[in-house]
Amino acid sequence: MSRLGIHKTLKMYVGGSFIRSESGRVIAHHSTAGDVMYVPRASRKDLRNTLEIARKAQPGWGGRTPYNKGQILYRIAEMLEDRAGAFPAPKAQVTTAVDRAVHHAGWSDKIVAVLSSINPVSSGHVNYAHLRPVGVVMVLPSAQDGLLGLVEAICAPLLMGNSVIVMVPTELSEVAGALSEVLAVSDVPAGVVNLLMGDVPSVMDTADLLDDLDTLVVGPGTLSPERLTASEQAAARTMRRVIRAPSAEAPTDAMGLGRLAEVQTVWMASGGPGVTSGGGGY
Amino acid sequence: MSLQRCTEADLAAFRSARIDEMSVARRVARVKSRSLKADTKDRLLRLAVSMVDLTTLEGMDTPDRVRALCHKASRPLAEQPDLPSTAAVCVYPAMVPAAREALGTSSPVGLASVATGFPSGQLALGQRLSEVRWAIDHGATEIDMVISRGRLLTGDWGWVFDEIAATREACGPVVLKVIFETGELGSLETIAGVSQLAIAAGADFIKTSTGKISPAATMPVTFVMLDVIREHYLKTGRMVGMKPAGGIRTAKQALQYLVLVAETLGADWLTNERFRFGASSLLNDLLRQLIRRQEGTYPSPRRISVD
Repeated sequence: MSRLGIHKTLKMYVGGSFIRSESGRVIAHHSTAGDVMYVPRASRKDLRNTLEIARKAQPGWGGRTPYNKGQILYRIAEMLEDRAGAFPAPKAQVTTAVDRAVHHAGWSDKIVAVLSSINPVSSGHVNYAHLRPVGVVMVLPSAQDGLLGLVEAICAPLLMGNSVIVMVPTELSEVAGALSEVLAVSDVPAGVVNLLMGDVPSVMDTADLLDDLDTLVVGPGTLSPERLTASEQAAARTMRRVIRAPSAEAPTDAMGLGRLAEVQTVWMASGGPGVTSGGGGY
Repeated sequence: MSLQRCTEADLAAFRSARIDEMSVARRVARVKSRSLKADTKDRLLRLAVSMVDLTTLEGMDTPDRVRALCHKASRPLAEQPDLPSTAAVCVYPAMVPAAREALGTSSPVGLASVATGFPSGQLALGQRLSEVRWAIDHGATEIDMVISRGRLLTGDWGWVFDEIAATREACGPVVLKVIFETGELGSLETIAGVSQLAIAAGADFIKTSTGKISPAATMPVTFVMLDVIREHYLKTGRMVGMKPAGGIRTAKQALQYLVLVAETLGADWLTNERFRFGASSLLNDLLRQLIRRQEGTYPSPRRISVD
């Protein structure tokens, strides 16, 4: 007896749920199997809602211990490895992506020690600088970087304690759909990682107006130079950080990870000269 | 005001209120799908600000926190001084003196105090009435009372009528809002019946909830209560106010409630003398939307003080 094919509906991943765009709009695109695939087209409202969800989820994620964050990043690698055969990408690409997730999992409980410092000051204080998450990070990974670019886009901000909104280029929609299913079973709390799909420049028109977005990471070739300049100018209004990221071929290095964090400087009275009473301050 | 009276026949009529839940759901769904023009939205957002009873009802409330709330109620957004103040602040009786001191005597902002053993109402009637008098003596201009849900649910509707009437008398000219805690009443029919009862007993406003239990205010419940107000108005010409409270956190929800009021009762009720929102976080979302409409960008919630 013949059997009807079961076609998967491609959806975005927001707040731990698989959703269509609230607008109902889609972009027709060819899948790896050559079929026509309808990619959800995130609307302005989708982006606004996602930002609110990511904002709510961030303090819980940022407050987890580095060790626990590392465990969850490692779990992403485990789930990715488990599904390598079913991924709509060559096995070698999946393997590289798994290794990248493991790489970042390993950094999680070390990066703070590498980037924090005790600073020399001319008074009776201990002065140290340490890291805290920058908040909600929106990432535009490059289509050329494939699955590896998506994993890099997610893991680097995550290990610094941020929540992430990934604006997936249409070419990577199918692989992003599969990656969402990995994230959903990786113990990443709902809302900490969100994947939106659709027309990147039009979504950026809205992103530029969202004052609550803390950082924008732009992969190579994702925006035209004029569009990128417009986003940088809009970012200046609210001191939003805009990072022009290199290709994901190499993992984000320690200095790059530092840009996904705020540095907090703490002064503590050490009882030395010039200090009459104890106490600490910022 | 003289004590209200009701007969067994009146109580039987209150108890026999009938509601078609399906048509209520349809009506609410239709209201929610209404779209508003941009300039109407602007007008309604400002109106909604003027209808907020800015509320803090926590065990950890302090006079300083209440003072901050009063300043915010008087001038919700420093950068938009032409914005109206909120209708009132709503606090526990113990915080009334601090609120009165912060507001002064000539403030346009009302001072509402919950009373009568809020939120449960589980005190002897004498204690509850003395709480009302104490709050009024210390400067409250509005009293939000709770009814005895236990009495109501065991069928003693006459007792509930009498307690509202007694509180009405204790309030004198002060505005009386009667809280039903609709989330505990079970059905829309009970809510309709209690609405009739409270209005007959002298309520100036009928109010859905304490905000302490879920579900709090919902649109179907609000619609049923508005409809009772409408029928009472058509029968007697007296205009009773409505205050949904609890769970209304976004400007979008607030606008939907205003559309519901406009469509059920008409423009005469689109004033803070007849409609209020009992809310704390709603005000910040209204302010965010007002900034967004003025500046064109979506402001961060972190830009506005959290009370």
